[in-house]
Amino acid sequence: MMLKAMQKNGWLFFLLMLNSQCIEPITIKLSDNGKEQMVIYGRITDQDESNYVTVYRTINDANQPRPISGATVTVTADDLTTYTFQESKPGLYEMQPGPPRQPGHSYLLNITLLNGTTYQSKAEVMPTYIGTDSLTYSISEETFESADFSRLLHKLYVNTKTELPIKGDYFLRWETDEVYYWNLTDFPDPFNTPPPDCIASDRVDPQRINLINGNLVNEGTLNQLVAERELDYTFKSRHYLIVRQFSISENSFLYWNNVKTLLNNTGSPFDIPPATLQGNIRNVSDTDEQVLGYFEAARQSNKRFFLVPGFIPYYIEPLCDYVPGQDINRYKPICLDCGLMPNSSNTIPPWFM
Amino acid sequence: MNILYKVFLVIAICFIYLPIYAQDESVKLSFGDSTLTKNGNITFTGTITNMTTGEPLQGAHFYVDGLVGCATDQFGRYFLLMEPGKHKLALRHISMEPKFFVISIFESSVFNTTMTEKAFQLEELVVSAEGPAQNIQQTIGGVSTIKISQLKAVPALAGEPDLMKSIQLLPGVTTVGEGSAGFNVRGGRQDQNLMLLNEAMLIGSSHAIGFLSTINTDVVEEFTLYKGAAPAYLGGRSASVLNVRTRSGSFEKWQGNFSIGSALSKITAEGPLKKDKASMLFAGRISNANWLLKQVDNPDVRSSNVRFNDTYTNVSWKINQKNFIDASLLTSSDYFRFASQFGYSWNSLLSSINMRNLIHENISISTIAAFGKFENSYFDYEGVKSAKITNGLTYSQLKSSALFAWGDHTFTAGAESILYHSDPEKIAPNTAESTVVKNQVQKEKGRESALFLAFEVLPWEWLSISGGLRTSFFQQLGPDTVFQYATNKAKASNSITDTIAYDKGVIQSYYGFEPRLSFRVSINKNQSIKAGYARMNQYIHAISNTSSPTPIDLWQMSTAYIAPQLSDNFSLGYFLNFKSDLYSTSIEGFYRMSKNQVEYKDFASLFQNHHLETELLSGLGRSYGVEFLLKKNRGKWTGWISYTWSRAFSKVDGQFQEEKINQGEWFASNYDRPHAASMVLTKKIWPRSSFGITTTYITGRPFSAIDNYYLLNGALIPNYSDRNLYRIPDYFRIDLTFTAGNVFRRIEDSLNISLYNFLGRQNAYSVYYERFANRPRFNAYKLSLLGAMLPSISYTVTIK
Repeated sequence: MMLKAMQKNGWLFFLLMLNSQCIEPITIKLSDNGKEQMVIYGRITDQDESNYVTVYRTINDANQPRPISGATVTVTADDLTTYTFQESKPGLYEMQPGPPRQPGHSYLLNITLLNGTTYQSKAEVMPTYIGTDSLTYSISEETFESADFSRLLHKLYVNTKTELPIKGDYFLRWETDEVYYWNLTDFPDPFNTPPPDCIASDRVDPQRINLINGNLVNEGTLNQLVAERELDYTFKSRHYLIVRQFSISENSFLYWNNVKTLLNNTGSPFDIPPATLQGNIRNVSDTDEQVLGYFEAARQSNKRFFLVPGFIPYYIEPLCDYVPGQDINRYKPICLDCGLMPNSSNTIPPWFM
Repeated sequence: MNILYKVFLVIAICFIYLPIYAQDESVKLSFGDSTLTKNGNITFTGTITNMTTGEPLQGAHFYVDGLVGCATDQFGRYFLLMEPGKHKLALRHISMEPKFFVISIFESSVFNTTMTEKAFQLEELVVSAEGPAQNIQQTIGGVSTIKISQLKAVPALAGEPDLMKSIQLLPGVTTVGEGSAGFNVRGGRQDQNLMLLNEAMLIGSSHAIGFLSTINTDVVEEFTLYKGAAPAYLGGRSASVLNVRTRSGSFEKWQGNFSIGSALSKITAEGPLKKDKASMLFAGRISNANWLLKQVDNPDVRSSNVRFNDTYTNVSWKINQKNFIDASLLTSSDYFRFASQFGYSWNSLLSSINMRNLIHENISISTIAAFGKFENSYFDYEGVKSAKITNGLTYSQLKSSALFAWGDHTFTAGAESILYHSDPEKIAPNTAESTVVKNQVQKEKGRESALFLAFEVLPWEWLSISGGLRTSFFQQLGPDTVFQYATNKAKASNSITDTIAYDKGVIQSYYGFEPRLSFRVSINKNQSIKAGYARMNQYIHAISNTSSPTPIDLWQMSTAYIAPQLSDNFSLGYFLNFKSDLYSTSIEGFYRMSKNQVEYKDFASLFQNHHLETELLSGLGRSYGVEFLLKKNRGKWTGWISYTWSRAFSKVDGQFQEEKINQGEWFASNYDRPHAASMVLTKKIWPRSSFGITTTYITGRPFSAIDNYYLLNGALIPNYSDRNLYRIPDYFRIDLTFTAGNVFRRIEDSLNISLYNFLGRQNAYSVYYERFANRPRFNAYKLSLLGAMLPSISYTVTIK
């Protein structure tokens, strides 16, 4: 990330190093032109996981999700196979078991809201190529410094090593998830009943976009950093990192490349000016409506590894350990209720242990 | 009575003796035989040159018997019609010592003479955008001429007087921001300015991403900026023409100077190769900023490398009184590498041969042959993706014109042709471990030609008219491949239906008529009104999908899909001088319409693109404004105050949704800066020192802000507003400079101390957004490229 930012900045970074007070916060008074927009993201893969669609509206910050419930969501293949998605939580629609998705086939997303408005994506062809990653990680101790304070933190870096084939029409994207066992506070009781199992999962470093265009590289080994995360109390028990490689279409690649451009914008003279991202989904009856988001059909391959506290050469402060005599209200809510953890479940995946 | 008589006697004696005293300085000349008196007017013509440099002097005025006779043209030529007999002549020029003659003329005669530059004492400190009388008398409005001696009194970045920075202080001229290559004139884009070095086209004129221009002011005689209504013999861009005239080396003796500064060092040497016949001039500059890097703690910065240099070489040969030839070569090079991670470089070259021939007493021919090359590259060292991308443009120019002078009227006719050849855009691995595919994208060839006829006539003392017609042609040349697109879709890589391969020859042709007309009506000797109209075509375009142009931009020719840019420029102004030209004022309004202005699709991908037309959009441009100028031309304090109110808009309303920007409505262009004001003041400090101060205020430029957000696969994505709905904060800067002459007694030297951005204001170059950790929204940040005062010092020694 740092390297990318520096590459984009060039002279800017250089000037900043010489004169460190060139960036300062500013308040931009927004006009009332910012309009509410529909946001749809969907993905269908050849795996039985990672197939979901989200339907939301634009928000003023990340803590204000504005899901749209009750939509009818389907994906139709070019062989007319239809895959249905059911709402598992507000705004999140997950695919129901159905026939396997086939690389080389095209898929089309259809969404009908309760008010009858219908949205449809362009057809996306699932690529046939998929590569294989091998994973490595590193842990380091760093000092975080801001204008007000500094603190020591420990960081985990996840890297992939990918053998690239000869130059070709393939486009790859990587994302990293984590799945970890969450230790709820184990209060003593006469029957020694442990708290229920709690598994939490989340996306790691979602603002990092890793992409490669096979037309621009020859065969060779690609080493890249795919995720970076602070080691916190969630690493007190077994913690899986799953790196997913997606083989996507060229249009999907271009879309994600634009996302990357937006997220890496640093205001330098060499920056591409930011703009609204144009996706591949439209309102069927009102083509003037600007719909945000994208629907993609991807081949997928996963690699995972886990960490347990013994692998980490630093002490991690516990959060939910039982403290004799401490009032239950003084425990963090997440120590008491698995449902407060991100994407939590009481079911342990079969591969977890 | 006795007292009155004495007073009368004193006055009478004064009247008798003063002319005699004045005539004592006059040179007496005689032409022809007084016994062979002709009836009717006879011609008195010749050339005026700078005694030091041998260069023709433009704008020198002959006064005949106290009345304005004529001014010399760009070749230093004058043409007077007068009655046979005895006349008193005065020859004046703003930066030259005046000369006086008493001539007895009885037949048509040629008289060539020289003028000597005024001593440093006063005139070098006269900071004015143009001569005081020119302000009123010049026919074309919106013209600013700056002598280099005037420019040197303006505070500059790194203490180096700079042409581009000075131009930005003139009314009607703005820039997108510090670190932006070029400038904007009357709402035009940066690439719509034609840069000429002695009328040879110059591409690539920036050092250090625009902080400095590549033209060394030590070799510049003067430069003229035509803001819209350029004469017909100049053309090729749709907004303005900047013509920089360099000087020749001394024909008299060897001399030079060298300068050592905190950021830049330079040397100039000049002298006769053959006395009074041939001379040469060499000037070179080299950056020395690397020592600064070594002082920085950061090891990456310490191991970085930044450097630039430029050279200018000129050889001039006065074959005889009627024939003059000079050859010049300008080279510049920039290199920047950050640690061993990435970098940029760009180089330019312009060589030219210029011949001027007086073939008749009132006809001169000027011919220019030039060759230019511009290349840039970006490189990184990032593992397997390490790559080097190079671009370039090569061009050859030939221009010939004939100037016919008849009294106060001049007529110029000629032709011009430029052959462009874009180098292939290449990408190659930059390190041994890189797996980047070596590739190249072929670029276009083209030929731009023009025929022109320009005139400037003075039918009456109160009226002068300048006009003409330029007919320009452009041909896209093969071999090349032209993609065909589906007619029912926007041009995109997925709407390509076919390709047509062309062999050598013409693929696409364009032509344009470019009428130009300006006139000046003098109300009296201190007031005039000027109006002008010019149509200008542009066939090559700088392609840069950034908020401001950079030195690594691509140059793209017009093709079957990229039509020439065209602009219509109107202006109307009122000019007033008062207190014997001590003050000059002007107010000028302008309106400009343009077509086929190049705009970009959102996130346009320009590099390694075989079909650039899929990323570009064609739009309309509209700008208008009013410029005010108040100048003080003489005295201890000199300088000017300018204010411009202007607006610049674009509109892109293509056939398909993907070919619209902001729903096809007018929107503020990147360089729309409604209020721009500057003040330039210089004070002479006895005996050879000077102090200068400039202040600049400009409204912040437009940008796109975040309206709201959305979550996409876990990532928080900012949703940006329509293009350019918001503005970054306004810009304000004060610069100071102090130059002390004769620091040491026995040598001719000077010491310059400059404080750029004296207040240390963190002026915004841009506003961008960044999200830290998992905060629920992005924060806005103001980025300042120069966020502190930048002091510089330089010491110069002149050897004569």
